[in-house]
Amino acid sequence: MRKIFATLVLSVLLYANLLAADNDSNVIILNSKEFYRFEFDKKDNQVKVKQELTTTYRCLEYRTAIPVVEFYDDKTSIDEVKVLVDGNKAKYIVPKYDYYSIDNIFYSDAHICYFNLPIERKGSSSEVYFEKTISDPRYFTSIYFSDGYKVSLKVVSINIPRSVKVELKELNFEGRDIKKSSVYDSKLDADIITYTIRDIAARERESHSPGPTYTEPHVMVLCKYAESPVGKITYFNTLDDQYAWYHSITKDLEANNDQVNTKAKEITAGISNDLDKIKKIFYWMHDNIRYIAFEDGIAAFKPEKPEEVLRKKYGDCKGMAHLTKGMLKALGFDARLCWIGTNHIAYDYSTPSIAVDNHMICALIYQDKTYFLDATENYIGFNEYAERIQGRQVLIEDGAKYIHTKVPVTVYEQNLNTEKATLSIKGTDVEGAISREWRGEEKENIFSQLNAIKKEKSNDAFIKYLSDDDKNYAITEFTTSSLQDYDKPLTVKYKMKHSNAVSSFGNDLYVDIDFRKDLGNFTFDIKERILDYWFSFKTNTRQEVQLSIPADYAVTAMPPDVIVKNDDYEFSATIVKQPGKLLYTKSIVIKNPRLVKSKFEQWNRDIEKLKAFYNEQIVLSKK
Amino acid sequence: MTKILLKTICLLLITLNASAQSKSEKNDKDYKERAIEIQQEIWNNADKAFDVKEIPEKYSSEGAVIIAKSFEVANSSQKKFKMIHLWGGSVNQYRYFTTLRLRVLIKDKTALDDFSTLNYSKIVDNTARIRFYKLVNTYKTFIGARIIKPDGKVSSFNPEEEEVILKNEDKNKEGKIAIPDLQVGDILDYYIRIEEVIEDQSKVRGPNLFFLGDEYPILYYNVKYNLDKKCGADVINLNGAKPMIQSVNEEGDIVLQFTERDLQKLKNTLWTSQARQVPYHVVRYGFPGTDIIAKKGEVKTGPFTETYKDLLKAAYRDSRIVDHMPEKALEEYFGRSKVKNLPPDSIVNFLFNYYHWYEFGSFNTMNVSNDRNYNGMRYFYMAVTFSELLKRIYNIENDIVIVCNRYSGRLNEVFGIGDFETFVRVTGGGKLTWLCFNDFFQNAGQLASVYQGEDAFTLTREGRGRKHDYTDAETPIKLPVMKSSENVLVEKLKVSFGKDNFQLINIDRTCTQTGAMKTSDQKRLMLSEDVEGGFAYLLNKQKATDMLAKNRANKQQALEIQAALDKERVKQKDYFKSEINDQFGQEPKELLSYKVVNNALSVANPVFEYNETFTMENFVKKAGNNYIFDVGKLMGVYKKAEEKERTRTLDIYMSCGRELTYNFAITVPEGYNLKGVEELNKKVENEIATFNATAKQSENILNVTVTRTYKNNFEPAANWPKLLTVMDAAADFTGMKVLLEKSK
Repeated sequence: MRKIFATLVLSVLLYANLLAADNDSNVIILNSKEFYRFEFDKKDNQVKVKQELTTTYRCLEYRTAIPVVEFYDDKTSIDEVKVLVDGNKAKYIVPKYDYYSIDNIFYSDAHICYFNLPIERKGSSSEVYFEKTISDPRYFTSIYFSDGYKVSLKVVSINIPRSVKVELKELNFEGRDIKKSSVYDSKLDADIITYTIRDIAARERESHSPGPTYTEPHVMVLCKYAESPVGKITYFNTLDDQYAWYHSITKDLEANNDQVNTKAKEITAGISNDLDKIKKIFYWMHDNIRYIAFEDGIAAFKPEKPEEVLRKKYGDCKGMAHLTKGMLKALGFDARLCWIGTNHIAYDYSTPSIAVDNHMICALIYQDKTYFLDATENYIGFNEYAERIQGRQVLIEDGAKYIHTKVPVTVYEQNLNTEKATLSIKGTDVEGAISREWRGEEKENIFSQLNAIKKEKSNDAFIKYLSDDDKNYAITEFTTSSLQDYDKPLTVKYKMKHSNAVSSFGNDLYVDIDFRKDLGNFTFDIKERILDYWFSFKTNTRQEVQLSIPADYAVTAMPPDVIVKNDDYEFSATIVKQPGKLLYTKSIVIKNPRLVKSKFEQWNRDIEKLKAFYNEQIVLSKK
Repeated sequence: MTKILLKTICLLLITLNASAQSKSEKNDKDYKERAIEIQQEIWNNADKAFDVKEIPEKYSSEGAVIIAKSFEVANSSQKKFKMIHLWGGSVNQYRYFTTLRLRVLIKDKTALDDFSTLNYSKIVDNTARIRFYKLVNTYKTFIGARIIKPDGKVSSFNPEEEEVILKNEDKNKEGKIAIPDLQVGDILDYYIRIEEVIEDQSKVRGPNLFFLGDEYPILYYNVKYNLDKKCGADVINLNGAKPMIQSVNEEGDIVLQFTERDLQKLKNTLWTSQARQVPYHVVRYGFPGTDIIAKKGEVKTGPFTETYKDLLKAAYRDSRIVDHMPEKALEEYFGRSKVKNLPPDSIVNFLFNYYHWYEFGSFNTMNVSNDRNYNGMRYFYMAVTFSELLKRIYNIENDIVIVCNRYSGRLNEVFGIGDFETFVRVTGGGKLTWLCFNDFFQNAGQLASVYQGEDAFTLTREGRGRKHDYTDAETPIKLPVMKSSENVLVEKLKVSFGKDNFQLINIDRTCTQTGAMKTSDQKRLMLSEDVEGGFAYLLNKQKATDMLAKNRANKQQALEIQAALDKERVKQKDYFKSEINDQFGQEPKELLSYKVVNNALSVANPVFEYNETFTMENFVKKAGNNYIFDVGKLMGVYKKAEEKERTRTLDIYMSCGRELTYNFAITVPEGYNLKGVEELNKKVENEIATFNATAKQSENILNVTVTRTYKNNFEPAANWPKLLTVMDAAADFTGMKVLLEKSK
């Protein structure tokens, strides 16, 4: 989708700058002036956005050279670049223009203008000036105030003629020194809105953190309409307008093609049950259509024809959604395209903008129930939803109208990860039989990893994963459920022998009941970590171990139970004595995958409790 | 007049534009026509190996099988008449056609990802134009692919319709293709043809290396060169690869070819030297005037050891010292009058350190990271100038030693001059015999481990005059191998249990390393500022930053460099943390102190030593009123070999013979008794390796000493089981525990 592009450009821009900065406190942005002007282009009968961006970099400790990167694409041109080094024109710096390759995107229209900017000595400054034009205001979605370097002062001025209706939505301003003023320029008949920003910290790049729309101070720019000499031009005044624009791009792509119809029937031949047919199509997509992302101009919004996706056996999210829809429709089902923003984006459709969504899936309306089918989630089951789309607003096509709804939020129970073990002690070894089961995103995760490994190594890799690559943990008689059936839970069964798992001293045996110790070392460095932590998905890990006690031994000590329960997560680990055996039960549940920083301290304390449990042994004493 | 001029210019511009447009269209048309010709040529190729659809049962579990792979090169040259400036003249036009064709059965998603996209430079036009003179230099890539479905249906596509153009300049087009209709279970048959036309400049092509193995099994592998009769080629086959077949075709062109069938995939194996163990071919070729051994129309089969030795010798013969700073520095250090009477070792050591200091460089830019520690030295240049300096100025007898690194080809298998490395052997008295320039952390007198046990040539300078020649020994010398006792690691760990938390242990760890055991940690733990300062100290010179600061003109720069160095110094804590993490498989809870005690840059003090104090979790488990201490984990992470690694046919190339000793002094907390000490004692010994663990409690201290010795740097594969017994014992030890039992 085009919007994934918009978001992506933003994120790659952030990334590029962050890459350049690498938390480099040596360089600051001393002064940044950004001037944006909406103006009507009579020739194209279009509102355009002119940008003049002046950034002054200063080094504080030692001279350096920093990479400067500015993005452009089919809708954005770079009209002029000027560079001043220590106040002098630096004509020897010749910007290079090139295609920008983005990880996981096969092709996009993202290009970069880049060069190395010297800052000649401590305390000196270098200045960069870019002049850019965005040819369609729909593509001007936001202005960010932070950067890869600390910003001392930034002044952002937006010149909005009264003939153009633009809404500015301020986000993540709390706690930041940002002042806003607005003046009316009667000569231009325009409002000039100015933000003065002081002392904004350099952006942080941390794993599992919320996207920048959640954390960085910025203004969302919503261009609604323009009163032009030739009449009113409506951009995204309302969500209806946004949908109308989407619909104008997709309406002529009605999926009805002989090859698609034939293929859908071939795939479901012999199946009579509707839901089984739907599942068959969904899983066929997983197995046979590979995801390759294209983000190219208008094509970023326009799904590839289903027959083309079918022919190529690859597609981006739009193409995959379109083929899913096409095949389901061929079988007589009510399938539709959906626009959706993943949880990487803080926005929803209350602010109509192409920055709101970045993904396309297929909705199936069947017997009054709506199912969402995301063919890019390769190994997820039917009616199971990935965390990234759960609870997200979605626009379902409905002819000229649309259905505005939400993807259901799945409870943590969906992502089950269980282990059941029946173990006994033989000398200093522990032996027994284990069965494990994964569902939902846990299952998807395992399948993804297995399929990322060469076939001849995947069995070994699975066993290594189960044994935590511990050579003393031998696995035999290893069997799995079908590795091609994503509809059912993934299960494995095996026999294990954990050599030297028991320590024997004198008349006592010491047993470590938990081999895996989930989350045992998962604490946050509160001093270092800046941003909230987002788990990949909700988790629901359960472990049950029955350990037979040798007849001539009695349990003389056990770790005390651990029970932690709050709105975000629950941990429990308990051992119960039963005749001739111990029953160990552990449950680790992440109910809310978004752990805010203010709760890190509590989390760390709770993990310490878990760790204390893990680091305590069961003591068996000779009777 | 102005109007006429304007009109003329406009007309000219329009004409030029139209001409450029039509030329571009013609280029596109030519490209398309050529693409069709190539496609027909390749798909009509009669090589039956590319028709195969079945694979042997033994490869049924592989993720992909290369059914057929071919690499073909054809070249030609011809004279062409061209306008050169305002005169006519002839130039040589060289054409090179290179074709890679691959037919692969895709059996899993990883292979599907590997083979599903192609990136390529479609057209590169580096043609140079100087006034009326044009030198053609173009490069075009043509690709094609077809897919054979499991039911035998063939699906093909037009690359131009599928490709996306990443760069679309007249002279530089880059494309990318996602291959359509490709699925697991399909056979992908594709080719890449590169056609180059170059005028009046011909460079040596290659060396092209052809390893007889890949990450997937290969059923058929064919390499063929069809070289113009005016061309020459050098070839070599190594490690059991059969020689290439040489012939001449009807046109008198040279044909070189090899065909292999059923090649097993290459596996990652511990302690190997692939350049000496995997069969492969090397080919390079070129027209007269290029840097190859073969003459026009000739194929020369390597090795070319003698030839390149002679070339190196000739280059060295022409070499002269131009920098006399080392001599001046020596005089300043010892005093001019005393230099004459200095023992050879003093001179050799000082100059060796000087060379290292000089080559390591000062800090004129803000490039201050310890990446510099990993830089190589210019050993070809260093060896010859160092040798000349010793002999001509100080009359210290020495040889230049020419050797091959243990991890490259052997001395008697040299194919290019780059296969050689050089250093100096002092023969004129003193103890400092070996002076190696392969990295900054070899001490004077220390023979680098990568050369040990290798055959080597020596070049001895004749006389002390500026004009000189070298005598080379008729037979190679055998370089010695250092004893394991010269490559030593000793780790001393003082361990105590936290006063308030028994499960948090305090570790005071001191590591000392000698010989080949030290360079890795020297590089990762030392700051480049300290390395530079260390060398400067040995020469009684000021540190680079002090020298800079003294220069008034550079004072500001010096301050800034120091600021950059100070910032780099903060990172040293992370270097130590990372080392602890690698050693123990977990980060310290807290790193309390860390320091390099001795940098080991001096031959007089060659033991690298560092110390760190830190706290660690997860070593102690509570057990009722008692505690179990994972004492074996103090030795660090040591994984047992997997079942499939327990048999091997490849000989064993270890970095060096070595002795590793771990001393743990564990303070037993008051009120607790130790149990399980006896079980820590274990000894495994054979003629090539030993493992020995001893433990004894003395008052409240448990002393554990663990040694692991590998006697040699090389073992035949047959000795693998013996090594495994020691490796297993070490791995088992890491699981050892003792009980801290509460006194009753």
